[in-house]
Amino acid sequence: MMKFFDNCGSGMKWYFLLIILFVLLNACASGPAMKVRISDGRSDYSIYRDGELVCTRSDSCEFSTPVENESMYIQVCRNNVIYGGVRVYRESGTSLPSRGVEKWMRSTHPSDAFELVTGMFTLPVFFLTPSKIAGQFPAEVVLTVGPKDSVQANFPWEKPIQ
Amino acid sequence: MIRYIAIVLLLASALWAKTEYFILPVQLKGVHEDYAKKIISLVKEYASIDGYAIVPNKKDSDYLLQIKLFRDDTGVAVIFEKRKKNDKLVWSYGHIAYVPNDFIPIVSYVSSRIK
Repeated sequence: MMKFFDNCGSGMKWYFLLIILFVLLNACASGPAMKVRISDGRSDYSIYRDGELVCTRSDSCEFSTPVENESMYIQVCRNNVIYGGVRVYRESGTSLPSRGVEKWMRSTHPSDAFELVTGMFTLPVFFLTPSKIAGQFPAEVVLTVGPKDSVQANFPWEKPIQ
Repeated sequence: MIRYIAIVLLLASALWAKTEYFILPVQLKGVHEDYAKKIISLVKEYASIDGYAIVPNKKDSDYLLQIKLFRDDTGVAVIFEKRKKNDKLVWSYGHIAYVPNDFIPIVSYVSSRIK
């Protein structure tokens, strides 16, 4: 790696360092992972989070939670047909530890002579802050799919309406 | 002057015109045709609420509406397809129904999207 950097020009070094920093910041901007299981145990569902495909199979679905959203909508689909969905909210009492940096940033007066310098150092740390919203999403969610009872399960669709 | 009024009226009528749909024969698999009639009557009901029209002739329509009711191992997959008259798919939506009453929220949602 170092040899690679030695071979690069000065401009290229900064370019690669910026890319690495960007990747790290993006990775840290995601919240903790959440598992989704389907009540009927089938593996052929696709899972969507706020309309975005996050798992193509439902037997081992795990994805990162959004940092800024208070809730997210999880949807279960198979062959482009929606089988169920649930809105998942952050759990109360699981507040993430508050960041001293944020507090410090607020106390920094805009007219401070070192505003630019502090901004340069605090901005990346600010982006690393996982969430400003209290509470975390549950680690696991089980989505109920399928008929609620035997009446629904055995509905005679092939017979005329009574 | 009359020409301008005619143009304004023509534009206004275009704005007020309702979108017109022709419902294609419902495709059924493992579902009795009574449920096709039921879902069509629901679509017509919601069309009057949401302000679009269901027309009896294909040539008078702006779009085609294809409804599919396919039996699944747990219920019935209700699929709506909004198509252009050249059969090109514009929008589609599918949702599972376990009992016929599940048609209501599905049709309500589709109706609000296609109005």
